[in-house]
Amino acid sequence: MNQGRRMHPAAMLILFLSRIRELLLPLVIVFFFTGGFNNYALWIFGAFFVFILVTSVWQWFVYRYDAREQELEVQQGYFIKKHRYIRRERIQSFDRTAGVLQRMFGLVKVKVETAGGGQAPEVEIVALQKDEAERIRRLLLKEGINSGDEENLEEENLQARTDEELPSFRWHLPVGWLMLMAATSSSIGIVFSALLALLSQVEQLIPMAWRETLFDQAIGVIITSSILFLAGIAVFVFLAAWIISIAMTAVKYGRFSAEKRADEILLQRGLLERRQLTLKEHRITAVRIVQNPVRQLFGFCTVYVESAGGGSEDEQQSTVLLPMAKRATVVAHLERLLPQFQFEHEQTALPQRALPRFLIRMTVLPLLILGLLAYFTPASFWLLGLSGLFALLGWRQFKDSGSASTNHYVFLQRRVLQLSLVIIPRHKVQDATASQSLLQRQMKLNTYTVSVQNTTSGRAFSVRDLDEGEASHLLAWYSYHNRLQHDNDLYLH
Amino acid sequence: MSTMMNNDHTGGAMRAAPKERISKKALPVWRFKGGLESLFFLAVPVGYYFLMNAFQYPLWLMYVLSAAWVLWAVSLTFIIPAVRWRRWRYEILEEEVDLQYGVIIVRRTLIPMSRVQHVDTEQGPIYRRYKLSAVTISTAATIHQIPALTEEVAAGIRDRISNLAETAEDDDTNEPR
Repeated sequence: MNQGRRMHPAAMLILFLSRIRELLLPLVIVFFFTGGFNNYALWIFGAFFVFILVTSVWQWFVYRYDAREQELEVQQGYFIKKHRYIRRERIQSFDRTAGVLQRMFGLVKVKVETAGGGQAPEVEIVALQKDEAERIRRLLLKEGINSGDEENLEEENLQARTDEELPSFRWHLPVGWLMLMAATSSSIGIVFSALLALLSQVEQLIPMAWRETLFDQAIGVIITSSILFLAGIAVFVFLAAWIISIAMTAVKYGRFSAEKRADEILLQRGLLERRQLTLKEHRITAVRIVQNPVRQLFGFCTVYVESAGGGSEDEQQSTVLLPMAKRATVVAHLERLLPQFQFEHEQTALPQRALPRFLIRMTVLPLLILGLLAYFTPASFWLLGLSGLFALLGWRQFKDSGSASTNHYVFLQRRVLQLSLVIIPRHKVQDATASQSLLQRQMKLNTYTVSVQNTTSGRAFSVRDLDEGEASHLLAWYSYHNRLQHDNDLYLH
Repeated sequence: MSTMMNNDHTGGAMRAAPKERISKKALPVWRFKGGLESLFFLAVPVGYYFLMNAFQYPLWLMYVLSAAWVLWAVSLTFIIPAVRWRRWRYEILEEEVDLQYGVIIVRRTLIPMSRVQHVDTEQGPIYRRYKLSAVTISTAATIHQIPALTEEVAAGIRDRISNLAETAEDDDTNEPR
């Protein structure tokens, strides 16, 4: 394949810098563990540096791609030449990212994913001109090129192009909602604990000479005003974590837009790194409407979709379709973005007898731990009241759980802490299971689970403690054996 | 729609269990495995015995642990294999595979033929001794296994599922959405 194209020459620098960035963390770790660099470490890093430089140039040299109407061919490998052919109809998603490095040169990175195949994308071209990326996208994602005779082909191409230029629906994230989203993001917990961990390491970073004077003084302060001081630090760290997590969310989801073009959905987002992801509507296996308790209070939700490719690690292998939308009106938007999906349904709640199971499940562990605490330190007896909060959560979990099915869709709603409604078309369900533990059998309850394909392999969605009858109804809804029977019955009546 | 659902609810009960059972030879295999596993747990009372001698730990706990081990070993080697065998049912219908299995949690799983990606038979050393085979059914999202089938039955099931899956219409394109 010598007619294939190389990446933009800036790929060499981009590959080099991104690999150096990966090396940065081990570098910092070594720095702290050895207390600075000795000659030995310097030599090793020097060698790494040269190695990375050489492989980056080399990789640019050997990497060629060739996008044709039916397939994408990629040739790579340092010693062993690897050819990879990806057929057009296997492609699940097309991801065009402009990272900070790429933006310096006005370039983009392209990732193409097919179904399955685990974490790594099938094809990753790290540096391309925007026009070139667009050319590949059009070649690979256009429907209808392979059907019909020559004349039709041109016509369809024309049709496709006009479809592409005029999105039939466009949704964008207002700045106010972005800020609300950032402020109510659950990533604050992660940032908070990371900051605390960092803070505990700060002592190590202070040079010996300062440490004795400064630190001893600080210790004195801590001892004299310990509780106030610690509370102050906690509040400060919390605020800092909040601001950092707001900034992180804003950078990631800033200027978010979702567009519907023909049978594709085009998602764009990011302030520093611009990501543009193209998903095919008929590849989407499930839609999830998620509300964390704070966002629920404000009446907002986040919509995720599952698909066999395109999910990113920081979104648990799902894809954010609408990062922040009003729950009351979200269905109207979704109906325009995903016209093939159905959202209207009438939910069947759990039977009342399931409630004790939720209450017990949520309170037994807190009661045990707090009970032990109260036994050994009677002063903390009042903490037992906290288990009331868990009972409240259990009650909400019971109230919020439910299921529904229409001709071609199943709806499963549940809450762990976040409320989540998942909508799955039957033809995307890979298998369905109704299960019953010994205790559930006593109470005539069932857990219902369906699996769909997602980026890594599969993802299961379930609702616990449904009425036995509802679970068997949902199983019959999925059964291809019963369906024929059922359709006949309907016909006879 | 909702009224129809309510009508269905009066029907209530799950459809009849799948017809076929797995081979009776599953029992010696599972008993053997359960026995081995319980030998592994023997480490707990034996370990406690040495601790007791070394640190004068109470003797009563030794009795409790030993009794617990005996109960655990009996259930691992005899009770659980028996319950598991009795529970395991399968049926290869024209449109789907119907499974029922599980000791404490009983699961009923449906896998439509149109979702089956591939189907294999597997045989480990113990299975080979008993001329048994397991059938593994993979979909795009999940993997299921029917254990302990005689070799002929397993091969038959594998071929039947494979044929049915091939001809099953892919309702991805067929079903109105």
